[in-house]
Amino acid sequence: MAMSTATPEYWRARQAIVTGGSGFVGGHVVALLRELGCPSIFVPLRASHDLRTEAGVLRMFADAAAERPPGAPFVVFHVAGRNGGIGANKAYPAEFFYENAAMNLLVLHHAWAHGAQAALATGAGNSYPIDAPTPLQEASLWAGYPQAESAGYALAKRMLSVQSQTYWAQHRFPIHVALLGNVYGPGDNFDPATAPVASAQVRRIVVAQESGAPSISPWGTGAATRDFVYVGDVALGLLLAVERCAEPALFNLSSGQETSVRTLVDSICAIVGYTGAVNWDSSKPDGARARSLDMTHARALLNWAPDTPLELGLRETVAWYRAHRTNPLTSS
Amino acid sequence: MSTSTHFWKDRRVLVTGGAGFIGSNLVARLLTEGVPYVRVADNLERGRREYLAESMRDPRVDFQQIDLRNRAAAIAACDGVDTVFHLASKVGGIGYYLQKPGEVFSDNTQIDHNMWAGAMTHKVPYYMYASSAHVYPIELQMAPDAPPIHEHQAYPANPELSYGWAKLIGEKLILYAVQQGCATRVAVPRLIGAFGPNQDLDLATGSAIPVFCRRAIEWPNGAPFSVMGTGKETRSFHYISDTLDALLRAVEKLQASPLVGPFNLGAEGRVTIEEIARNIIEISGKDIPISWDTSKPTAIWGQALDCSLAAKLLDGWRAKVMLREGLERSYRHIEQRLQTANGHVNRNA
Repeated sequence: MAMSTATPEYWRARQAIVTGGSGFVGGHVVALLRELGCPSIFVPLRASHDLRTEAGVLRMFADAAAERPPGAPFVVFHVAGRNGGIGANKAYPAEFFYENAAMNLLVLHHAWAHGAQAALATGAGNSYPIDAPTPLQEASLWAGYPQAESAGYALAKRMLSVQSQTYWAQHRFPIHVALLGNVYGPGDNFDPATAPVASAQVRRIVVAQESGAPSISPWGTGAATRDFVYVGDVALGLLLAVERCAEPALFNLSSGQETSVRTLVDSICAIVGYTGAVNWDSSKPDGARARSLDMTHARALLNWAPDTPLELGLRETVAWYRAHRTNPLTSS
Repeated sequence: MSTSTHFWKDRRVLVTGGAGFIGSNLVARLLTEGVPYVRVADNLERGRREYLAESMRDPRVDFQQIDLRNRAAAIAACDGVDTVFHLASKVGGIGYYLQKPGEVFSDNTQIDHNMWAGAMTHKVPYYMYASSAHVYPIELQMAPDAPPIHEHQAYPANPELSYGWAKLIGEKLILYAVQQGCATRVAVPRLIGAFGPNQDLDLATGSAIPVFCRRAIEWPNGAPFSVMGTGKETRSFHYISDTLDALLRAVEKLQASPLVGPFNLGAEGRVTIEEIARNIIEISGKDIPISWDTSKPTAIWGQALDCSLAAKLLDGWRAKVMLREGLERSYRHIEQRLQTANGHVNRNA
């Protein structure tokens, strides 16, 4: 996909700890680090390193230290989180708040306490106030309350920026915070019950094509817009932030392109070769009307911005899904 | 009631024939059990969108119009789900079965083979195959007071209808695979006489209870209240909520067993067709004469199943809703449907 412009020399000289490294975004961070020659990539596993507990976090840093090349510095990519759609957020708001707040607090605190060079944590576009003007700019992160249904999640994520600011002010420890758009790509969650919009539509349309279904009925009018960003671009953006930012950065990381769900579905149909009818089911809700992230700040900061065209990224996603689709469900 | 509701909160479910009578009721029930995803596969030949109207407003329901006679379609329908309720089949009243035996046999065996291939391909953990009391030999159903049939009496096989033969083949297809040690666990209920909301109201193809209700409701403006047969034939009926309790519990039981069934799923008591007709006329509050249509010979004189195995397998499950209460609920429901449906119901006699 996008040409890696990260510096192999930089990554060959340090250890990286990647929380959530066996997940979707984290998995792509690990793959990119490996490609760049990073000599030691430590991925905590839920069974042995429960990051919601201080004991689990301490064990992670101890186990990572044991694997670290002598004298090498280390950085922390904190990508792990409890994620889910509006439905799950509504059903388990306390868990979404507690688990994300606890993980972020503990992982980033102990990253500093154990002498990491820098840390990076991923936040979410839905941390922005519900009524913030689009395209969303970093400056408006605190200008209002987020969408009520996922406020626990969104505000736990928002606190990343407070942790970043305070740990820099007192300890000069840089914590970068990336606010992600709608990330999609190979390895995404395709679980029909919880998949986000892009992977859900890929699955739906591939199945419709194979089954010769005369029509599909995606939810909503298709008019809602989202800011889709390819996961490979996100991984690269995260590495570049650590590599290039001396001071803690709070930045949007997305394509900055507003794409309607209708365009998304049409693109996937074309890629999949599905020729049936698309009947929008306008009795189903559209969700947020519009969302896009302003990439001006990030572009200046990283001297780069996600550039994988949606069409290309979707091709990769469809190919990956087709190759992996007979696997058992990925949900635990 | 379901015994382990957390079980359903983790299930991604496919319901084939999900726009049909049992299917649409099952979909609604699964939603109340907290299932996070329900795919409904139906070709809408007999199923209707209107049966699912309320369920379709729920974002967890994913309706797909699919013809399961198409093998690729059936296999794809099993993608990404961990529980399959396979209810789809070509169904109708006895008249329909007798008119189109070849089509019924060929379509239903094909659908069952295709669905089972889907379950095997995707290693679906839990599979429910809806079999039928029509698998039982006709000679056990020749008298109105024939003794209740036990599961083992399916053999030596001699079903009256090609529909029953197809169900036997469908059972065998699965049972042999389970015997060989396949990854899929299977529940096989043999259903008899479920009734309730969302049954076919077509006078030519519908089954006794909904057709009688319609005739009574439309009396005296509709067709005469004619009933096929002598009225002395006996049947076993139970209300749909009891069916659903048993179906859900049977699948839950698969957590501990590779096979649940085949078991009879119905009410132990039996009633004559005449009693059914009289009850419905009573509910209507009208004075309706019944005209008995004996122009065609009675095929099945008495149909009653012994359901003690279901009770044993399913923690004492038994049909609980009293016949009269179920008939009243059905009658009100059909009354409402006929008032609002207009174009949806075939008004030809």
